[in-house]
Amino acid sequence: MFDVIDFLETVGQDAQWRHADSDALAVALAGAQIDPELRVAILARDEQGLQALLGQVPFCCLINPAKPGEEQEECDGNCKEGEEKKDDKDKEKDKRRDGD
Amino acid sequence: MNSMSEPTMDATRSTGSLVCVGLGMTLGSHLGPLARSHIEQSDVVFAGLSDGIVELWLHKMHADVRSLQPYYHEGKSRMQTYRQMVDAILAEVRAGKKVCGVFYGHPGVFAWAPHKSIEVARSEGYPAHMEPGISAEDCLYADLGIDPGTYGCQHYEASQLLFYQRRIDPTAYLVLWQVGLVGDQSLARFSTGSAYKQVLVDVLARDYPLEHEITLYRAPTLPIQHARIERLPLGSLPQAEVGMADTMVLPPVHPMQVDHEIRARLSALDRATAGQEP
Repeated sequence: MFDVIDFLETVGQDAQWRHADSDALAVALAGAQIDPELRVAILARDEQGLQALLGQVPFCCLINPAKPGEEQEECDGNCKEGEEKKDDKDKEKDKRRDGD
Repeated sequence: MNSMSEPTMDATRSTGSLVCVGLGMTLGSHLGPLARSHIEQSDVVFAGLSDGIVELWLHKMHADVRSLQPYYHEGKSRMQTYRQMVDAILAEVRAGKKVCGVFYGHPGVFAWAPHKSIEVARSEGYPAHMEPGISAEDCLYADLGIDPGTYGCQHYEASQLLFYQRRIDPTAYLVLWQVGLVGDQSLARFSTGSAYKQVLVDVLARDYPLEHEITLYRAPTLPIQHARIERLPLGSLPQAEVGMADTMVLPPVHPMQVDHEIRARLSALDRATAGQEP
Protein backbone atom coordinates (compact mmCIF):
# COMPACT_ATOMS: atom_id res chain seq x y z
CA MET A 1 0.00 0.00 0.00
CA PHE A 2 2.83 2.36 0.82
CA ASP A 3 4.34 2.25 -2.67
CA VAL A 4 1.89 4.92 -3.70
CA ILE A 5 3.06 7.12 -0.82
CA ASP A 6 6.65 6.76 -2.00
CA PHE A 7 5.50 7.74 -5.47
CA LEU A 8 3.65 10.81 -4.20
CA GLU A 9 6.66 11.85 -2.14
CA THR A 10 8.89 11.53 -5.21
CA VAL A 11 6.49 13.59 -7.32
CA GLY A 12 6.20 16.20 -4.55
CA GLN A 13 9.91 16.78 -4.24
CA ASP A 14 11.07 16.43 -7.84
CA ALA A 15 11.13 19.55 -10.03
CA GLN A 16 10.57 17.38 -13.11
CA TRP A 17 7.34 15.85 -11.79
CA ARG A 18 5.75 18.31 -9.35
CA HIS A 19 3.96 20.33 -12.03
CA ALA A 20 4.00 17.68 -14.73
CA ASP A 21 0.99 17.23 -17.02
CA SER A 22 -0.95 13.97 -17.06
CA ASP A 23 1.09 12.49 -19.94
CA ALA A 24 4.33 13.04 -18.05
CA LEU A 25 2.73 11.72 -14.87
CA ALA A 26 1.78 8.56 -16.78
CA VAL A 27 5.44 8.14 -17.72
CA ALA A 28 6.46 8.52 -14.08
CA LEU A 29 3.82 5.98 -13.04
CA ALA A 30 5.07 3.47 -15.61
CA GLY A 31 8.15 2.86 -13.51
CA ALA A 32 6.32 2.56 -10.18
CA GLN A 33 4.88 -0.55 -8.54
CA ILE A 34 1.36 0.78 -8.05
CA ASP A 35 -2.00 -0.97 -8.30
CA PRO A 36 -3.99 -0.18 -11.49
CA GLU A 37 -6.87 1.38 -9.52
CA LEU A 38 -4.48 3.71 -7.76
CA ARG A 39 -2.89 4.60 -11.09
CA VAL A 40 -6.28 5.63 -12.46
CA ALA A 41 -7.01 7.79 -9.43
CA ILE A 42 -3.59 9.48 -9.63
CA LEU A 43 -3.90 10.23 -13.33
CA ALA A 44 -7.39 11.61 -12.73
CA ARG A 45 -5.93 13.70 -9.85
CA ASP A 46 -8.81 12.31 -7.84
CA GLU A 47 -7.94 13.02 -4.21
CA GLN A 48 -11.12 11.56 -2.74
CA GLY A 49 -10.84 8.43 -4.86
CA LEU A 50 -7.24 7.99 -3.77
CA GLN A 51 -8.22 8.52 -0.13
CA ALA A 52 -10.93 5.86 -0.40
CA LEU A 53 -8.59 3.35 -2.06
CA LEU A 54 -6.07 3.90 0.74
CA GLY A 55 -8.72 3.48 3.43
CA GLN A 56 -8.77 7.14 4.40
CA VAL A 57 -11.69 9.47 5.09
CA PRO A 58 -11.69 13.27 4.62
CA PHE A 59 -9.99 15.02 7.54
CA CYS A 60 -11.12 18.02 9.52
CA CYS A 61 -8.39 20.61 9.10
CA LEU A 62 -9.69 23.27 11.48
CA ILE A 63 -7.30 24.05 14.31
CA ASN A 64 -8.13 27.62 15.16
CA PRO A 65 -11.06 29.20 17.06
CA ALA A 66 -12.67 32.36 15.70
CA LYS A 67 -12.47 34.04 19.09
CA PRO A 68 -9.34 34.55 21.16
CA GLY A 69 -8.72 31.46 23.29
CA GLU A 70 -9.79 32.86 26.65
CA GLU A 71 -13.07 34.23 25.37
CA GLN A 72 -13.83 31.10 23.37
CA GLU A 73 -13.23 28.98 26.48
CA GLU A 74 -15.88 31.03 28.29
CA CYS A 75 -18.28 30.27 25.44
CA ASP A 76 -17.33 26.63 24.83
CA GLY A 77 -20.09 25.73 22.46
CA ASN A 78 -22.65 28.15 23.81
CA CYS A 79 -21.40 31.57 22.92
CA LYS A 80 -24.62 33.37 23.63
CA GLU A 81 -24.51 32.22 27.22
CA GLY A 82 -20.78 33.00 27.39
CA GLU A 83 -21.27 36.48 26.03
CA GLU A 84 -24.05 37.10 28.51
CA LYS A 85 -21.70 36.01 31.28
CA LYS A 86 -19.10 38.37 29.89
CA ASP A 87 -21.68 41.16 29.80
CA ASP A 88 -22.45 40.43 33.45
CA LYS A 89 -18.75 40.70 34.26
CA ASP A 90 -18.55 44.01 32.42
CA LYS A 91 -21.56 45.27 34.37
CA GLU A 92 -19.88 44.25 37.63
CA LYS A 93 -16.74 46.12 36.57
CA ASP A 94 -18.84 49.19 35.72
CA LYS A 95 -20.47 48.99 39.15
CA ARG A 96 -17.04 48.83 40.78
CA ARG A 97 -15.89 51.80 38.70
CA ASP A 98 -19.02 53.73 39.66
CA GLY A 99 -18.28 52.97 43.28
CA ASP A 100 -14.68 54.26 43.04
CA MET B 1 -13.08 17.84 31.72
CA ASN B 2 -12.69 21.45 30.65
CA SER B 3 -9.29 22.47 31.93
CA MET B 4 -5.99 21.01 30.88
CA SER B 5 -4.99 18.24 33.28
CA GLU B 6 -2.46 19.06 35.98
CA PRO B 7 1.14 17.92 35.60
CA THR B 8 1.83 14.55 37.17
CA MET B 9 5.62 14.79 37.06
CA ASP B 10 8.05 17.42 38.23
CA ALA B 11 9.71 18.81 35.09
CA THR B 12 13.05 19.19 36.92
CA ARG B 13 13.26 15.38 37.16
CA SER B 14 11.81 14.65 33.73
CA THR B 15 13.50 14.39 30.36
CA GLY B 16 10.33 15.34 28.56
CA SER B 17 10.40 17.95 25.81
CA LEU B 18 8.20 19.26 23.03
CA VAL B 19 8.75 20.63 19.57
CA CYS B 20 5.95 21.56 17.18
CA VAL B 21 6.90 21.48 13.51
CA GLY B 22 5.17 22.22 10.22
CA LEU B 23 4.85 19.62 7.50
CA GLY B 24 4.02 22.25 4.90
CA MET B 25 0.95 22.09 2.69
CA THR B 26 1.88 19.65 -0.07
CA LEU B 27 3.04 16.06 0.45
CA GLY B 28 6.72 15.74 -0.37
CA SER B 29 7.20 19.36 -1.42
CA HIS B 30 7.49 21.48 1.69
CA LEU B 31 8.93 19.51 4.61
CA GLY B 32 12.22 21.08 5.71
CA PRO B 33 15.27 19.07 6.83
CA LEU B 34 15.14 20.34 10.41
CA ALA B 35 11.46 19.46 10.84
CA ARG B 36 12.10 15.99 9.38
CA SER B 37 14.99 15.53 11.79
CA HIS B 38 12.79 16.46 14.76
CA ILE B 39 10.19 13.94 13.60
CA GLU B 40 12.73 11.15 13.17
CA GLN B 41 14.51 11.80 16.48
CA SER B 42 11.44 12.07 18.71
CA ASP B 43 9.99 9.31 20.90
CA VAL B 44 6.37 10.07 20.05
CA VAL B 45 4.82 11.97 17.13
CA PHE B 46 1.36 13.59 17.25
CA ALA B 47 -0.21 14.41 13.90
CA GLY B 48 -2.59 17.32 13.26
CA LEU B 49 -2.84 17.06 9.49
CA SER B 50 -5.29 17.99 6.77
CA ASP B 51 -5.28 14.79 4.74
CA GLY B 52 -5.19 11.08 5.61
CA ILE B 53 -2.78 10.36 2.76
CA VAL B 54 -0.36 12.92 4.19
CA GLU B 55 -0.70 11.15 7.54
CA LEU B 56 0.31 7.86 5.84
CA TRP B 57 3.41 9.67 4.61
CA LEU B 58 4.22 10.75 8.17
CA HIS B 59 3.87 7.13 9.31
CA LYS B 60 6.79 6.28 7.04
CA MET B 61 8.99 8.70 8.99
CA HIS B 62 8.25 7.39 12.47
CA ALA B 63 6.92 4.18 14.00
CA ASP B 64 4.79 5.85 16.71
CA VAL B 65 2.54 8.43 15.03
CA ARG B 66 -0.64 9.26 16.95
CA SER B 67 -3.34 11.01 14.94
CA LEU B 68 -5.18 13.92 16.55
CA GLN B 69 -8.00 13.47 14.01
CA PRO B 70 -10.18 11.17 16.22
CA TYR B 71 -10.76 14.07 18.65
CA TYR B 72 -12.92 15.86 16.05
CA HIS B 73 -16.65 15.26 15.98
CA GLU B 74 -19.26 17.37 14.27
CA GLY B 75 -21.53 18.73 16.99
CA LYS B 76 -18.74 18.79 19.59
CA SER B 77 -17.11 22.10 20.43
CA ARG B 78 -13.75 22.25 18.71
CA MET B 79 -12.44 24.13 21.72
CA GLN B 80 -12.90 20.88 23.64
CA THR B 81 -11.15 19.05 20.80
CA TYR B 82 -8.24 21.48 20.90
CA ARG B 83 -7.89 21.10 24.67
CA GLN B 84 -7.90 17.31 24.33
CA MET B 85 -5.11 17.61 21.76
CA VAL B 86 -3.06 19.66 24.22
CA ASP B 87 -3.78 17.15 27.00
CA ALA B 88 -2.69 14.20 24.85
CA ILE B 89 0.54 15.93 23.83
CA LEU B 90 1.38 17.11 27.36
CA ALA B 91 0.71 13.69 28.90
CA GLU B 92 3.63 12.26 26.92
CA VAL B 93 5.87 15.23 27.69
CA ARG B 94 5.15 14.76 31.39
CA ALA B 95 5.92 11.06 31.02
CA GLY B 96 9.46 12.04 30.04
CA LYS B 97 9.10 11.55 26.28
CA LYS B 98 10.69 13.60 23.54
CA VAL B 99 7.52 14.67 21.79
CA CYS B 100 7.07 16.11 18.30
CA GLY B 101 3.76 17.70 17.32
CA VAL B 102 3.44 17.72 13.55
CA PHE B 103 0.89 20.05 12.03
CA TYR B 104 0.04 20.78 8.43
CA GLY B 105 1.30 24.06 7.02
CA HIS B 106 2.93 26.22 9.67
CA PRO B 107 2.31 25.00 13.22
CA GLY B 108 1.83 28.53 14.53
CA VAL B 109 -0.45 30.06 11.89
CA PHE B 110 -4.17 29.82 12.63
CA ALA B 111 -3.35 26.95 14.99
CA TRP B 112 -4.39 27.12 18.65
CA ALA B 113 -3.25 23.73 19.95
CA PRO B 114 0.46 23.97 19.03
CA HIS B 115 0.83 27.41 20.65
CA LYS B 116 -1.07 26.28 23.74
CA SER B 117 0.91 23.05 24.05
CA ILE B 118 4.20 24.95 24.01
CA GLU B 119 2.88 27.52 26.47
CA VAL B 120 1.74 24.85 28.93
CA ALA B 121 4.92 22.79 28.56
CA ARG B 122 7.10 25.83 29.21
CA SER B 123 4.99 26.86 32.21
CA GLU B 124 5.71 23.44 33.71
CA GLY B 125 9.43 23.76 33.09
CA TYR B 126 9.80 21.56 30.00
CA PRO B 127 11.86 22.67 27.02
CA ALA B 128 9.45 23.46 24.21
CA HIS B 129 9.69 25.36 20.95
CA MET B 130 8.27 25.67 17.44
CA GLU B 131 9.86 25.24 14.03
CA PRO B 132 8.11 27.06 11.18
CA GLY B 133 6.66 25.42 8.11
CA ILE B 134 5.31 26.51 4.74
CA SER B 135 1.78 27.73 5.37
CA ALA B 136 -1.28 28.06 3.16
CA GLU B 137 -0.59 31.78 3.25
CA ASP B 138 2.84 31.21 1.71
CA CYS B 139 1.32 29.05 -1.04
CA LEU B 140 -1.34 31.68 -1.66
CA TYR B 141 1.24 34.39 -2.34
CA ALA B 142 3.04 32.11 -4.81
CA ASP B 143 -0.03 30.77 -6.60
CA LEU B 144 -1.94 34.05 -6.84
CA GLY B 145 1.09 36.23 -7.53
CA ILE B 146 0.42 38.51 -4.58
CA ASP B 147 3.19 40.35 -2.79
CA PRO B 148 1.91 41.49 0.63
CA GLY B 149 4.51 44.25 0.60
CA THR B 150 2.98 46.03 -2.39
CA TYR B 151 -0.26 47.29 -0.86
CA GLY B 152 -0.22 45.58 2.54
CA CYS B 153 -2.32 42.57 3.47
CA GLN B 154 -4.80 42.04 6.28
CA HIS B 155 -5.61 38.54 7.49
CA TYR B 156 -8.64 37.60 9.58
CA GLU B 157 -10.43 34.47 10.60
CA ALA B 158 -13.64 35.11 8.63
CA SER B 159 -15.99 34.82 11.61
CA GLN B 160 -14.02 37.45 13.50
CA LEU B 161 -15.30 40.01 10.99
CA LEU B 162 -18.82 39.12 12.06
CA PHE B 163 -18.28 38.66 15.81
CA TYR B 164 -16.30 41.85 16.34
CA GLN B 165 -16.15 45.35 14.95
CA ARG B 166 -12.98 45.21 12.87
CA ARG B 167 -11.54 48.01 10.72
CA ILE B 168 -10.91 46.89 7.16
CA ASP B 169 -8.43 48.81 5.02
CA PRO B 170 -9.81 48.48 1.46
CA THR B 171 -6.57 49.87 0.00
CA ALA B 172 -4.80 46.65 1.06
CA TYR B 173 -5.40 42.99 0.28
CA LEU B 174 -7.86 41.29 2.59
CA VAL B 175 -7.48 37.54 3.21
CA LEU B 176 -10.21 35.68 5.10
CA TRP B 177 -9.65 32.20 6.53
CA GLN B 178 -12.15 29.47 7.38
CA VAL B 179 -14.83 31.08 5.20
CA GLY B 180 -16.59 27.71 4.79
CA LEU B 181 -17.88 27.91 8.35
CA VAL B 182 -18.17 31.66 8.67
CA GLY B 183 -20.50 32.79 11.44
CA ASP B 184 -20.46 29.53 13.41
CA GLN B 185 -20.70 30.66 17.03
CA SER B 186 -20.97 27.13 18.39
CA LEU B 187 -17.54 26.05 17.14
CA ALA B 188 -19.22 22.68 16.64
CA ARG B 189 -20.03 22.81 12.93
CA PHE B 190 -17.82 21.89 10.01
CA SER B 191 -19.67 24.19 7.60
CA THR B 192 -22.29 26.92 7.51
CA GLY B 193 -24.79 27.66 4.75
CA SER B 194 -25.40 30.43 2.26
CA ALA B 195 -27.33 32.59 4.74
CA TYR B 196 -24.19 32.86 6.88
CA LYS B 197 -22.07 33.73 3.86
CA GLN B 198 -24.64 36.39 2.99
CA VAL B 199 -24.03 38.01 6.38
CA LEU B 200 -20.32 38.10 5.55
CA VAL B 201 -21.11 39.66 2.16
CA ASP B 202 -23.28 42.28 3.86
CA VAL B 203 -20.45 43.17 6.24
CA LEU B 204 -17.91 43.35 3.42
CA ALA B 205 -20.33 45.41 1.30
CA ARG B 206 -19.70 48.29 3.74
CA ASP B 207 -16.27 48.60 2.10
CA TYR B 208 -16.50 46.79 -1.25
CA PRO B 209 -18.96 46.86 -4.17
CA LEU B 210 -20.83 43.58 -4.70
CA GLU B 211 -19.25 43.23 -8.14
CA HIS B 212 -15.73 43.40 -6.68
CA GLU B 213 -13.83 40.32 -7.88
CA ILE B 214 -12.77 37.95 -5.11
CA THR B 215 -10.71 34.77 -5.31
CA LEU B 216 -11.43 31.47 -3.57
CA TYR B 217 -8.16 29.68 -2.98
CA ARG B 218 -7.12 26.26 -1.69
CA ALA B 219 -3.54 25.01 -1.61
CA PRO B 220 -3.00 21.44 -2.84
CA THR B 221 -2.27 18.81 -0.18
CA LEU B 222 -1.21 16.17 -2.73
CA PRO B 223 1.43 16.89 -5.39
CA ILE B 224 -0.86 15.55 -8.12
CA GLN B 225 -3.44 18.26 -7.39
CA HIS B 226 -3.70 21.81 -8.62
CA ALA B 227 -4.51 24.75 -6.38
CA ARG B 228 -8.13 25.91 -6.40
CA ILE B 229 -8.18 29.39 -7.87
CA GLU B 230 -11.72 30.51 -8.59
CA ARG B 231 -12.64 34.11 -9.25
CA LEU B 232 -16.15 35.44 -8.73
CA PRO B 233 -17.98 38.63 -7.76
CA LEU B 234 -18.29 39.26 -4.02
CA GLY B 235 -22.08 39.21 -4.30
CA SER B 236 -21.99 35.62 -5.60
CA LEU B 237 -20.23 34.21 -2.55
CA PRO B 238 -23.40 32.81 -0.88
CA GLN B 239 -24.00 30.57 -3.92
CA ALA B 240 -20.39 29.37 -4.15
CA GLU B 241 -19.21 26.03 -2.84
CA VAL B 242 -16.74 26.81 -0.07
CA GLY B 243 -15.05 24.09 1.95
CA MET B 244 -13.31 24.27 5.31
CA ALA B 245 -9.89 24.48 3.62
CA ASP B 246 -10.83 27.35 1.30
CA THR B 247 -9.55 30.89 1.73
CA MET B 248 -11.02 34.07 0.31
CA VAL B 249 -8.92 36.91 -1.09
CA LEU B 250 -10.16 40.42 -1.80
CA PRO B 251 -7.78 42.69 -3.74
CA PRO B 252 -7.66 46.40 -2.90
CA VAL B 253 -10.66 48.35 -4.13
CA HIS B 254 -9.24 51.87 -3.62
CA PRO B 255 -5.79 53.34 -4.29
CA MET B 256 -3.65 54.27 -1.29
CA GLN B 257 -4.08 57.93 -0.31
CA VAL B 258 -1.01 60.12 -0.06
CA ASP B 259 -0.46 61.57 3.42
CA HIS B 260 0.71 65.05 2.41
CA GLU B 261 1.10 66.27 5.99
CA ILE B 262 3.46 63.48 7.02
CA ARG B 263 5.41 63.70 3.76
CA ALA B 264 5.92 67.44 4.34
CA ARG B 265 7.08 66.71 7.87
CA LEU B 266 9.56 64.12 6.60
CA SER B 267 10.83 66.54 3.95
CA ALA B 268 11.40 69.17 6.64
CA LEU B 269 13.34 66.60 8.63
CA ASP B 270 15.40 65.80 5.52
CA ARG B 271 16.28 69.49 5.11
CA ALA B 272 17.07 69.95 8.79
CA THR B 273 19.34 66.93 8.94
CA ALA B 274 21.03 67.48 5.54
CA GLY B 275 24.80 67.46 5.95
CA GLN B 276 24.61 66.25 9.57
CA GLU B 277 24.82 62.56 8.78
CA PRO B 278 28.25 60.89 8.49
